[in-house]
Amino acid sequence: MDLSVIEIAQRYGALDDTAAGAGDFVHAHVLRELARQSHRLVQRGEYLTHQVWNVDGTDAEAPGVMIFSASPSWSRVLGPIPVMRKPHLRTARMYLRARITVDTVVLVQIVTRAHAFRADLRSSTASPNVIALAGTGDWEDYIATGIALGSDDIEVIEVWATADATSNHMDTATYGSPNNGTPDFITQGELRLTGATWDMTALNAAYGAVTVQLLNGDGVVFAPPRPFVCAGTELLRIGNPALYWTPDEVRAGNNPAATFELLEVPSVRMAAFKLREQDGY
Amino acid sequence: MPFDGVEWSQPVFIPPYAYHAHAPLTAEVLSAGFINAYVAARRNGRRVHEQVAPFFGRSSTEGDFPQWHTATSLVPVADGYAWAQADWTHARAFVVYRAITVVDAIAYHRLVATDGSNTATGTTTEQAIATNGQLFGSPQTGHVGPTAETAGNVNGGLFGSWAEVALETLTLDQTIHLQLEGYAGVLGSGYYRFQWAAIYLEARG
Repeated sequence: MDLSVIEIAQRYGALDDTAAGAGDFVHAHVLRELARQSHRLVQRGEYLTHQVWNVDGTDAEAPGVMIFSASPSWSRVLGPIPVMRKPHLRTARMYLRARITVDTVVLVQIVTRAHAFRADLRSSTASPNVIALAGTGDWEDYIATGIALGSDDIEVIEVWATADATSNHMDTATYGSPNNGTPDFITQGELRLTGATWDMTALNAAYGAVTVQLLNGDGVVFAPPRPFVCAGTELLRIGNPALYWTPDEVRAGNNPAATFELLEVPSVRMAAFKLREQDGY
Repeated sequence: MPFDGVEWSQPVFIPPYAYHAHAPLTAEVLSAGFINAYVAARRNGRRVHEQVAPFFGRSSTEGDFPQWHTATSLVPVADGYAWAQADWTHARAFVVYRAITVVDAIAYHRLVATDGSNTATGTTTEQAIATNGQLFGSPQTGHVGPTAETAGNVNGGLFGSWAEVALETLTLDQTIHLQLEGYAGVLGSGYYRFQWAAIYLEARG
């Protein structure tokens, strides 16, 4: 035993049932034990939310299934969830079971009263409430701790998700090659690359699941991801005029140093999501 | 979460070494222990049910599934069973829902509890749904299916409400059935979609 070792009762029942009988004196050990147990009761975390969904069958949209595509911008996928809680416990543990497209990374942002939603966050290192989920194409358990909670006795929880555009290159085995490079030229609605072997059938069948973005010579994205149709093995076409590249983007994209990237939009299917307060000391 | 409206601040923090087996047992440690016991006891609500409806953020086909309803009277939207000790006096539900109306409308919720032979029906709560978007949570951006949750959109939004029921007419110390009902609209014009609910048991008085 050491005074520096934190001691918290691990379970109730440390006293026998005659320790605090009516009319009896209570000795110091009993008092100490009672104080410790009350302290434990206050410091124990409780679950904040626990949601489960159907995990049967394929990843099709069907009743009971929770599925979404992680878009390039943040979207709210769960909540708001108002929960009563212990206000002095300021961190939470997340448990998430999900199936995410292989080789893609999804960022989730847990919004609480200690962490207002921020659209500018693009990295899991920026805040304990932003977590990166690496997809494997199979069901995985994702666990994160230290999620910041507010100091009120009501917490309003939201979960937002976005694709991590830095790591989600298109799968070349499925959709053809390459998934990045220097275009021969681009116009408002077209991008051509001689020598490409893009798979028209696969790409067009999955319209919207793969997007194209343009980067300058320093790797900075100047034209954010847009969906496209594959008009030939060497030609991509933006089908929606509202999403055409602007004249400035066309000029920048035809700079010899400019490159393009084809990004896969992750599909996320959730089986369970749980947040639990972490114990106090 | 003192449901009876009495706030008792935060618990008192006791350094763990203060009640180490070999540490002096001081009056401060004991009084803090009593205060903490009281705080813990005041948090007398117990969540006994949580239910969520999934949604599809991938396409607008959400509308094809029977999660939206256009009922013009209360219909069940969430239900579950819970063991209720005789000490509990009330059940209270928090509900988050989506609604689409073409005019200012009202959303109605009611909590009904039954022990198998007796039924306790709570008062129906009403929540005005303003067309300027009386929204709940952070502003949504992007495409989220048929309800664009933007503050200026008169056609949809995400709202939070509650309902409660007194359990005094039920025989407790057994499993009871709790059912939350809801709908939205004026003159039958509302579309209602249940999103999330939690039901708490609490002891008042």
